[in-house]
Formats: sequence, structure tokens, C-alpha cells
Amino acid sequence: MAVVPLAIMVILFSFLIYNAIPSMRYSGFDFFTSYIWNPGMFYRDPIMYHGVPAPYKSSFGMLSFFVGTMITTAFALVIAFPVSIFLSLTLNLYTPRALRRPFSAMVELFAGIPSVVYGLWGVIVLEPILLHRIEPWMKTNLSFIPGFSGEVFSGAGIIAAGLILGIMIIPIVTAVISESMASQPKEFKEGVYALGGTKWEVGRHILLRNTRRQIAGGTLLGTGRALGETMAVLMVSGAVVNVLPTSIFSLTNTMSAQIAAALDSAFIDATGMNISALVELGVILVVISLIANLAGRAIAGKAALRGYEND
Amino acid sequence: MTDIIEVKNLGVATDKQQILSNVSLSIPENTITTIVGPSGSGKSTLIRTFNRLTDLYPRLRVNGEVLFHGRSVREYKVMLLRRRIGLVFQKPNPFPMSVFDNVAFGPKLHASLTGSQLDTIVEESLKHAGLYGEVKDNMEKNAMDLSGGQQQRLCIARALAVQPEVLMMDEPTSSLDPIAKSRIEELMLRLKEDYTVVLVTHDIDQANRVSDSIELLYNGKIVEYEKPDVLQMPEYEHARQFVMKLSRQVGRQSRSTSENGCFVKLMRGSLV
Amino acid sequence: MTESASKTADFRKLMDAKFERRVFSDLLVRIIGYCILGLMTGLLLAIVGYVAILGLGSISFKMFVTVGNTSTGGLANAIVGTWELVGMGLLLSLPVGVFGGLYLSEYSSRYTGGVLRLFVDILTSIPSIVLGLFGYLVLVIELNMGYSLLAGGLTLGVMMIPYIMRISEISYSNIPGETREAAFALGANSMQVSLRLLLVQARVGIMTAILLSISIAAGETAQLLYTALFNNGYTTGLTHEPVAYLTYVIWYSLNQPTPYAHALAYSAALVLVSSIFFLLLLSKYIGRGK
Ligand SMILES: Nc1ncnc2c1ncn2[C@@H]1O[C@H](COP(=O)(O)OP(=O)(O)OP(=O)(O)O)[C@@H](O)[C@H]1O
Ligand SMILES: [Mg+2]
Repeated sequence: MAVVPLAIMVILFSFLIYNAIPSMRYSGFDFFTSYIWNPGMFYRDPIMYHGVPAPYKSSFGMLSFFVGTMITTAFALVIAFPVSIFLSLTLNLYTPRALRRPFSAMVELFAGIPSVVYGLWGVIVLEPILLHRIEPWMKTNLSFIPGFSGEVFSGAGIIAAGLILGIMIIPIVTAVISESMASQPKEFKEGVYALGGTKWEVGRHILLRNTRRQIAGGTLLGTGRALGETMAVLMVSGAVVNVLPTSIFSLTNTMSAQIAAALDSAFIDATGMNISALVELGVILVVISLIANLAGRAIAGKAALRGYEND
Repeated sequence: MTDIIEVKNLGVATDKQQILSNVSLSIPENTITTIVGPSGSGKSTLIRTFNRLTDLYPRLRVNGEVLFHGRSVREYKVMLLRRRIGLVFQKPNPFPMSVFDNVAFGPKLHASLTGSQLDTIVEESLKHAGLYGEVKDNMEKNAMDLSGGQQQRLCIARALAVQPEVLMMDEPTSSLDPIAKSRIEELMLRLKEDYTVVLVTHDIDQANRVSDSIELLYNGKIVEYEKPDVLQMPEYEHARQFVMKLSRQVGRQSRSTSENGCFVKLMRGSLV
Repeated sequence: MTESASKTADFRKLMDAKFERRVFSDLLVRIIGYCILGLMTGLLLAIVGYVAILGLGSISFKMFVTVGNTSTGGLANAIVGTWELVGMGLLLSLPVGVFGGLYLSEYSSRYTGGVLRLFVDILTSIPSIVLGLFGYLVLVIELNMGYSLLAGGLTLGVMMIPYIMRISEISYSNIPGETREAAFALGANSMQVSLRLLLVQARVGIMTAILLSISIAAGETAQLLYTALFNNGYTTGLTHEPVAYLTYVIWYSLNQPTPYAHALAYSAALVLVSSIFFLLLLSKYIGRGK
């Protein structure tokens, strides 16, 4: 039974890679450098290129999705990292013992909210606020920062996707960091208190200093989650194709959201090239998120097991 | 001689257990006061009420008074109180950083010091703790790599570095060989010049070697072991060994100074 | 002697100089921390509260008993379909997780255990949309299941395996050695010990793992888009028959222009979030001893 995951993984990787081969042959290196994703004209005769059939005028480049994934993930980390650190410090230092459990449970409930519900909230609540209040304000007051001047579209886009992703990964990052802070030996903490240290000094010199590994690991685990997150981003990113972001107000798209959005029409493509291209996109996404997740687990060690309870 | 610490009717309890009850004692300045007693009798808990480390555990309910310089410890800012009443823990607990950083930790918290002032404080503290010779060439060594006895002395140096007035040591020699043990005992006698020392130990012989006064704690209560009939009291049946040994030795060594020694405290003038 | 005494006195004068500054920075961190904690509490209430308000304003008893097609009708097919899919997922992940976890905790050597655990971790790292893509390629197309309960449920099951396996592994290894030795002393052979004793002892851990993985699976969408698709009615067969599920209604109906479609989305969100929170709190309650 324990071999089942291994078997699944072997099948999964062989299938994905096998199905990505036509796209690799068709698009070659352009796949990484082009930002044009054109499914082509399905009702014209397919063309042959590098020995594989593809729809007329089709072209597949992942750059805009890759950039969108990276930017939204980075945005999410900028939100989630400080929030998770402060949450963990507060839970471990300043929260009375009796309230610690309810608050930790609350943070875990965030993890339970389904991705589509975050998306729904993003569309109905967050986007209007961003559109009418926050983004115009940012535009007038912060436009001296590079990337903060540009057209405000619909409230959807980088800010909305980054915010929602940030909120979504806070529970997992917080769980890992808070857990490793809680497991710091009480001898260290008492040692600082006995020298006349304040709680913050315990936090700074013991909790933060001794859990740097787990903080890095938890953040990487959160990164892995943000990279692969699909539905919420699909709903609030604007899901555009063929554009690179010009400002923080731009609409965007991510690799995972593109797979979900484009698979529908890809089925119609009789050559199968559209599906193959999406599979190639998936393979690259898997590789990136594997690196983040495995590095996170390796660095965080035992504390990363909390990730299983908080996904 | 003025009492730097006075304990009046101190009680500590959890929901399930009365850890200390009705403890009263006083600790004169520039002396070594030793608290002895069997394991679990509440020695550590007692001295942790002096610097309010018991505050960290809300389930420990403390009542009664601990006075420091005549004022209740409750009235002090806890950070400053703990700076002035140092504690060396029962189990050596150096921080996972270099030897230098361990000793410099407290001074850096409390004072804005120049580099050379900090160096001097670290050096003096290590010298005081009798560790300087062993570490002076390798101050960047990780403290966790020191031997148990060295860690113990490092913790003493760390506590001394914030220039406390009282130094409390919880079984500082329990894990040491006889030579290291006698070094620490010498250290305590030296420290008495500048500090008030409170020592907790299981070792009655050690208590007799260094103490100016000895308190016996049993089941959370102070035993007035000098009273002639205490030995016969049924509640001290299990402490009889302790009581007998203490009475015999204290009696032998301090008959001259304690003819009215019918209370908690017993001064042993000869060593002062 | 006097020299050291005077030095001590000199140093003593230097101490406590930073008192106010330290009290202030401690207070500052505390305030920031409380603000963030408050903000997060507010955010949770805002999200959940908003879903509750929208949902309660739209939901009706009729929705629970009529089938729907994302713009008209009710949610009955989606609710039933969600449970069917999760149940199918459990059918795969429960035995694999429980016995796989048992193997990892009791029988595997350091090396094989490490390798197998690595693959479990890899499995959790696969984004759910990629699992969906995989389910489509392998189950829907290659194994010719079509969009179906089997394809969707198994894809969900693959995602659930790691949670059940790792959490049950932890609960087996938390069983104290004496309990095992006591059983061995009674002459039980290794197989009996494992099955009877360990499963019974670890039942709380396994139960929380199951509840947790159900709550995660019920909220998934991306895996199901192209394996279960959607069904305007109930699903009764295993293959070649798409399945309805709640997350699809939330996503799809929200993009429809009619107010009733939106009402369906809100109601589906309310039903889903309240079920998930119930399951999560139940699993917390059961596992509270830990
Ligand atoms: N934070 C606490 N919570 C609950 N009980 C405590 C706490 N601290 C101490 N106790 C209890 O108080 C009693 C006395 O403990 P204490 O550590 O003071 O004994 P001790 O005399 O120092 O023993 P030893 O010589 O073994 O160090 C013990 O029964 C212990 O369980
Ligand atoms: Mg003790």
C-alpha cells in the first residue's frame, strides 16, 4: 500500500511527459520565450511542423503565464510572510494560554475555506473595493513607485490575485512557524526571562533566531501552494492571455489558471496539440512547485508535517 | 546586617497541589544562604518566586510576600527585578550561540555599551565564574559544545554579566566532578564579597562547607530542624535522615554561634 | 577584591539605561501582533459572514430537494454528487492511507521508509489542476471511463492519500512501545498485533485524518473540472456519466448573468463552507487530546 503513491507518481510523470512531447517538438524553445498563446484555427486544415500536426496559425508560449505566476506568488509572499511571523509571535508570546487554541483553530479554519469560495469573495467583495477605492488611491498617491502608475481596469488582476493567494497561504506558513516556535525548549525562554528580557526579546533572540530554518521552510511550502493554486486565481486574476503586465494594476493570468481555463476549448483541437501544450505547461508547473515544496519540507524538517494538517 | 530578601508566609499552589506553604525566611546581604531539601520539596519553586519567574506559569498561584530591599517584588518592574536578582538554572541552559554572545546577551539587553566596555564586562564575568582561562582563546566557540561543567560556569558568568545584587544558584554542582565542584564552591565564597548568594543543593556536606545559613525545606515547608524535638515529629519521618545529618553537623560546627538558634536561621560565623 | 567590587559598582550604574526603549519596543510588537490577529479574525468573519449573509438570503428548502443545472433548479444533485465523489475518493485513499501508514510506521526500514515518504511528499506537491489533467489523460481517455464518478472520485482519492497516510503514520508511531510489548507478551504474532491493536489504538488519529481529508476533498474544484465535468441530474453509474458537485456550481453560476444563478452560487457556498467547518471542528474535537 505504501508503494501506491510511488506507483501513481511514476504513472503520472510518464503520462505527462509522454503527452507533452508533441508540444515540445512543435514549440521548441519558443515555449519559454514567447508570450503569445494562440490555440490556432481548428477548422482549417492542420499544418505539419517538426513532424507533428498542429492547428493552423497556432503558437504556444508560456511567458505571460509564468510571469503572472511569479508576480502573484511574490505578492502573496509579501503579504503572508510578515503576517505569519507576527501571528506566530503573537500566538506564542502574547496570547493567554486559554486563547491560544481557539486562535490557532481559527487560523486553521482559513485553510478549510475552499478555493472557489475565496474566489467568490474576491469577485464580490474585494474587486469592487479595489476598483473604486484602493487602486485609484494608490494610483494618485503612490505613482512615484515604479510599476504603480498605469491604467486601473476592473479590480481584478495582480493585486486581487496576490492578496487572495496571500490570505490562502497564511495558514500553512503560520502553522509551520508557530509549531516550531512552540517547540523551542522552555530552558532558552526562561533563560532570557531570568536575565530580565521582555517577551519581544525572547521572540527576537530565541523564537525568531532559532527557527530561521523552519521559517524559510514554511515560507517555501506556502510558495509551493501559491504556485499551484488554481480556482481563486482564475476567478480574480482577469485570466488574460497574450499580455505581459505593465503595472501592478494589470490583469494577469497564471500557469495553473490557464490550464483550467483553456482545457475546455483544447478538447476541440483534433490534432491534440492544444492539450499537449497545456500538459507541457503543467509539467513545468509541477517542476517549479515540486522544487518549492520539497525544499520547504527538507528545510523545515518535522515542523513541515503540520503542513499536512493545514493544507 | 540588613536583609536583602525577606519571605513572609509565602505559599505557592496549583489547582492540584500545594507546592509551598507558609514559608518565611530572610536572607542577609553578602552572605551565602543555602536551601536544602529532598527532591520535589519545592526548592526551585521557592527561589523562582524571588525573581517572579513563577509569573511565567499562570497556573502557579502565589500568595504571601517576598520583599526585596524591603519592598514587595510585585512593586518592581519585572525586567529590572530579574536583572538585579540573577538565577543560574538547575540544568545548564546556555543559549545556542557563541560563548561571547552568551555572556554579552544580558548586558546588551540592559545597557548601551561601547565595544570595549562590553569586552571588559564579558571578561570580568568569565573570570568571576572561573571560566576565562579555558575559553579566552576561543570566545566564538558555540556554547553548546562546551562540557557540562563549563556550561554551568558559563551560565554563572552570563548571570553575573548583568551585575545583579543577588545570585541564585539552583544545584550548580549536581552534574560536576569533585574538582569542578570545589571550584564552584570557591567561586561562591569569592562572590559573597560583591553579591548575595542563594544556593540550592541536595548536598548537605556542601551546604555545610559554604553556607552562612541553611534552610531545610521539606514538603513545601521550612523545617525548624534546630528545635530538639523536631526529630521526633511524625510528619518528618521521611526527612529524618536529612534532619539528623543537618542537626548533627550544624550542631557540631556552630554551637558557639547559635545558642539561641531555635529558629529557621543559623549563622556560621567562623567562615565569614 | 575591592578593585573588583568597584568595577561591579561601575558596571551596575550602566545597566537599566535602555529600560524605556525596551518597554516601548515590546509594546509596539505586541500592538502590531494584536492588530494582525484582530485583522485575521475580522477577515475570517468577513469572508464567512459574507458567505453566510449571501447564502442565507438566497437559500431555500426547495434547493435541497430539486436538481439543478447551474442556472435554474436546485442543488440536490450537486450535494449528492459531492458526497459520491468524496466517498469514491475515500474508497481509494482510506485503505492505501491506513495500511500504507502502518507500513511506514511499523515495518519500513529507514531507507525504504525515506524513499516512500519522499513520494508521498511529492504527491502533495502536485498542483490540483495538474492532478485533474492527469485524471483526464489517464482515467477519462486512456482507461475510457469518460467523465464519471470513477474518474473524478479516483482523482480526488489520489489527492487524499498523503493526508491519511502521513497522519495515520504519526498516530501509529505515537503509540507507546509498552502497549505493543504487552501484546507481544501475550503471544500475539506480528500481524495480529498490527491489525487489532494498532488500528484500535490509532483510531482517533485515523478518524481525524479522514475528516480532514474529506473537508479538503469536498472543497476541491480543479481536479474535477475535467474528470467529473457536471451533470444536470443525479449520477447513478460509475462510468461515462458526469457528476455534479458544489464547487462547480459556485464557480460556474457566478459567471452566469441571472440573479437566480447567483443565488445558487451563494447557497452552494453556504452549504459547502458550513459542512467543511463542521467537519474541521469535529476533527479538532475528536483529536483534542493530542
Ligand atoms: N509550573 C509548575 N506547574 C505545576 N507543578 C509544578 C510547577 N513547578 C513545580 N511544580 C511542582 O512543584 C513541586 C516542587 O517542584 P520543585 O522543582 O520546586 O522541587 P525541587 O525541590 O526543586 O526538586 P529537585 O530537587 O528535584 O529539583 C513538584 O511536585 C512539581 O511537580
Ligand atoms: Mg529543583
